[in-house]
Amino acid sequence: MKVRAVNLIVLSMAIVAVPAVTPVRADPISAHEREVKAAFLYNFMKFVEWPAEKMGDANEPVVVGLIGSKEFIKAIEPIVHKKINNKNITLKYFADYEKPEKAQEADRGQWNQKIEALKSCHLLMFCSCDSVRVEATGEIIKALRDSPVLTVGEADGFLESGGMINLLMEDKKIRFEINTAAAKKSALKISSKLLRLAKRVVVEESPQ
Amino acid sequence: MLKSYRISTLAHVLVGLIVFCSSPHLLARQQDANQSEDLFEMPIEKLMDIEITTASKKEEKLFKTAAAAYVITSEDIRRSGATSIMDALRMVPGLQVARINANKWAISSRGFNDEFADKMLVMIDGRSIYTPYYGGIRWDTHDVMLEDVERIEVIRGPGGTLWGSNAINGIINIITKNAKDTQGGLLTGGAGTEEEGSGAVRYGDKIDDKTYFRVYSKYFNRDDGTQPTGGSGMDGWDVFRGGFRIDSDPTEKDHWTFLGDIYDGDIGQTGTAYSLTAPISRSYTRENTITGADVLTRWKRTFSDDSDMILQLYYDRQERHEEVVTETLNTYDVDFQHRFPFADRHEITWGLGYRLHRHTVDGSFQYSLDPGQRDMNTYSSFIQDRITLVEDELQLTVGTKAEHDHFCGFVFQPSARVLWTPDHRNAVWGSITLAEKTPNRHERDSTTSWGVFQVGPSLISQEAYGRDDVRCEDATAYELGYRTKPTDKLLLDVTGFLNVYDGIVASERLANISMPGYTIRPYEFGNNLDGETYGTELSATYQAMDNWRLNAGYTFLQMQIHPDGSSSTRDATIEGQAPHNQLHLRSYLDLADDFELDCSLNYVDNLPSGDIPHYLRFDARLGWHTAKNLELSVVGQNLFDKRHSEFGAEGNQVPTEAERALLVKLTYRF
Repeated sequence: MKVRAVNLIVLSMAIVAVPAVTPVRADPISAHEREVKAAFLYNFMKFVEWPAEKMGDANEPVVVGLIGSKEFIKAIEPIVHKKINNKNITLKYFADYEKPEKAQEADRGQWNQKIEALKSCHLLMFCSCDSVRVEATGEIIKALRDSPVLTVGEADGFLESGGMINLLMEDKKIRFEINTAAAKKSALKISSKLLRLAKRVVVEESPQ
Repeated sequence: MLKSYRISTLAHVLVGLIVFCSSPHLLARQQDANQSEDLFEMPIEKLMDIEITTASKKEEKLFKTAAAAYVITSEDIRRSGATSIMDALRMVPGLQVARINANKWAISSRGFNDEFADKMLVMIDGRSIYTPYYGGIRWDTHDVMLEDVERIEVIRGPGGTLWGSNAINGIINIITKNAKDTQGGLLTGGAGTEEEGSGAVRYGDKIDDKTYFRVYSKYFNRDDGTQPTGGSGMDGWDVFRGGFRIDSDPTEKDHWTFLGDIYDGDIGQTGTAYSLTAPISRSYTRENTITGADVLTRWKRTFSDDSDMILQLYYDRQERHEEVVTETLNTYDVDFQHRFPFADRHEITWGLGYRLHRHTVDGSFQYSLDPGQRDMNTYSSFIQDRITLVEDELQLTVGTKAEHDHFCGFVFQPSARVLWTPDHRNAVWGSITLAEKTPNRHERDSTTSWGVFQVGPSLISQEAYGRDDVRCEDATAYELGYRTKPTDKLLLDVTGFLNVYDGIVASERLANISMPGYTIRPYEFGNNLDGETYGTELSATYQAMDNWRLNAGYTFLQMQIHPDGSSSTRDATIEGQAPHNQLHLRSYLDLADDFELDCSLNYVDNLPSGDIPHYLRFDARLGWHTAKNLELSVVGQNLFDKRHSEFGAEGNQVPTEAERALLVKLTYRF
C-alpha cells in the first residue's frame, strides 16, 4: 500500500512538473485586452485622413491623446516607436478631464482652456477601463465637433454622444463601430476599408 | 516504508523544478514585449481574430497583493467534498490543518499549531471569532453554510495594519455571498459513515428591486472517532444553526448589509476531572453544550472609484457549558474605515475601532479565572498609505495600527510592503512587519489543575497559573514573494518568510509548594521563549485542458524556538508540533454527461512530539448533475488508510483518528 503511494506521488509530481517543463511559447492567439485595443488605435490612424493643415510638415508629430483611466497608458506606449505617414507619434495623457463640475461655476475660462489643449491631438482616446467613467465625454466631444480630432471610445453610447469610433468586445474578440456623420463634421475622411470591417456604421447624426 | 526525508527530497526536487521553470518568465517577458510590438505590426483583420483573455477583477487583485495570499473559491469548496471549513482549509499552502478528534481542530499558519493556536486571526464577514479567553479559534462553535460561502481568503503572515493584533501568523477571512447571489431555494441532504446525517435549506428572495434577503438553517450529526487504541472517543457532536442575510443598495453609492445567526449544539468530550479529595482523578464523558447568536450590520458608501467609507457594528454572544467550566462571552464591536486618494500618487486608508468583550467564567477546582468576570476594552486605529512610485509598476505601502489593548496598553504594529509588477505576467513583493499578540485571560487570570496524583504517600497537584505581568508577544516578519503567469494557463506563486519572535508565552516550572496534606507542583506563564521560524510556500494552478484543472501546493517550515534566560519550558514540544513538509495535489476534471471527478492528495510530515507519523490522505469526489436542478455527489475521504492520527494528546482532549469515510450528498435547487 505504501509503495503504491510513493508511485502515486511521483506520478502526480510528474503531471504537475511536465507542464512546467514544457517550453514557454507566447500564445499567438490570445492577448491582453488593452494591448490589442492599443494596436487598433494605431490601425485606425492608418485608415483615417486628416486635413492637410492638421498634418503640417514632416517634423510635426502626430499626437495621440488619452483621457480617463490611466491603465491604458502602459498598453499604448509602444506606439511612440511607430510612424504614421512618416511622422513620429507622441503620446499625451490629459489628467482631470473626467468631470466638468468646474464648468458649472465661474471657472468656465479654465475649462475652455482645457478643451483648447485637446485640440492639439490628432486622435483622442476616452479610456474607461475598470469602469472609470469620463462624465464629461459628451461635453468634450461637443466642444471638439468642428476640430479635426478623431475621437475614440470604449463605452456604451459613445457614438450616440457624437464620438467617431467605439471599441467593444464581442465573443471575446474586439470589434468597432463608426459614426461617419461625426467624422465628416470634423473634416476627417475614413477609408472605406475600415468602414467595411466595422460592426456598425452610423451615417446620420443623433439629435443632440 | 516511506521515509520523511525521501519525500522531503522529492518535494525539494519539485520546488527546484518549478522555480527553474519559472526562469522562462524572463523569456516570457521578452516575448511579451515582442508580442506587444508585433501586435502593432499586425494587419487589422488579424487583430480582429485575437481572443482576449481577461482575468477577473478578483484574480487581478489577488495577483497584485503584496502578501502571501490564497483564495479558496466557492467552486473549490464544492468540488473538494469538504463538509466543514476546516476540511476546506487543507488545500491552502502554508496552513497546518490537523484534526485532533471529531470536534476539535488545530489550525495555524507557519507554526505554533495547537488546539488553542493563538497566532492566527479568523473572521467571518468582518466579525472576529478569535476569543480573548485563551486566544484562539473555537472551530467547534463557528460555522457557516458552505454553499453560502463566496470565498475564503487566507493570508499567511501578519495582517498587521488593517486587522491588528493577534494575526502574527496570518488571517483567515470567510466571506459569504451577497443575498443577491443566493436567490431561490436550495435544499441539501447528506448521509455518510462519519457525517452521519446532515441537511441544510436556504431560501432567498427580493423585497424590492434594491433589497435582497436569504434565510438558512443547517444541521449535522457527526460520528464518534476511534482512539488510536481502538476504543470510541465519544466525541460525536451535532449542531443546529440558522440565520439570515439582507443586502440592499438604497442608492447607487450606498450598500447596506444586515446579517445574523443563531446556533445550538451538543459536543461530546471525554476528559479527566481532578480533585484533592477522592476520587482524585475521574474520567468523564459528557455532552458539552454550545449556544449563541450574532448580528452584524455594515454600511458602505462609495464616493468614487478610489474613495469609500465603511461603518460596521456587530454583537456576538457565546455560551458554553463544559464539565469543569461554564463560560459566557458577549462582544460588542464598532469599526469605521475610510479610503481616499491624496496628492496624485497616494491612497490613504485609515480607520478607528472599539471592541468590548464581557467575559464570565464559572470555574471549579480544575479550572478558574480570577476575576471570574472581566470587561475588556480595546481601542484601535490604523492608517495606511499606498504610494505609487512608478505608475502601474512600483508600489510602496506603509502603515501602522495603533491599539490600546486592555491588558498591555499601547501597541504599535508598523509595516512596509513593496510591490513590483514589471508587466502583467509577473509580480514581486516584499514586506517587513512588526506584529503583536496580546495576552489573553488564560495567560493572565487562570489557575489550572492539570493533574492530581499519588506519588507514594504524597498527594501531588500539578497546577498552572497565569500572571499579571504576561505581556504581548512580539514578532518581526520578513517576507518575499513572486508570482508569475508564464502562460495564460499556468500560475505560480512562491513565498519565503522569516519570523523572529520575542517573548512567546509558555509555562515554566517553579519550586514545589508545600500545602497541608498535599504538595503543589507549580507552573507559571511567562514570556519565556524566543526564536525564529522560516520556510517557503509554493502554489501552482494549471488549466491543463478546458475541462481539466490542476492545483499543487508545497509548504516547508522550520522552527527554532529556545527558552530565553534560565527558563525550563518545553520548547521542543512546540517545534515538534510542526510538520517540516506538506504537499498537496488537486485535480478537477469535468467529464461528459455532466459528471465531475475531483481528487486531492495531501501529504503531511510527521510530528515528533506526540509521535504522530507522517500520513498520506487521498480524497475523491464524483459529482453528477442528474437533472437541471439536482446534483448528486459521492465523496470518499481518506481512501488510502483505514484511519490515521493527525495530532497528539493535548490538554484535556482525547485525540481520535481521522477515518476512511464515505458520504453521499444531494443538492436540489428550486
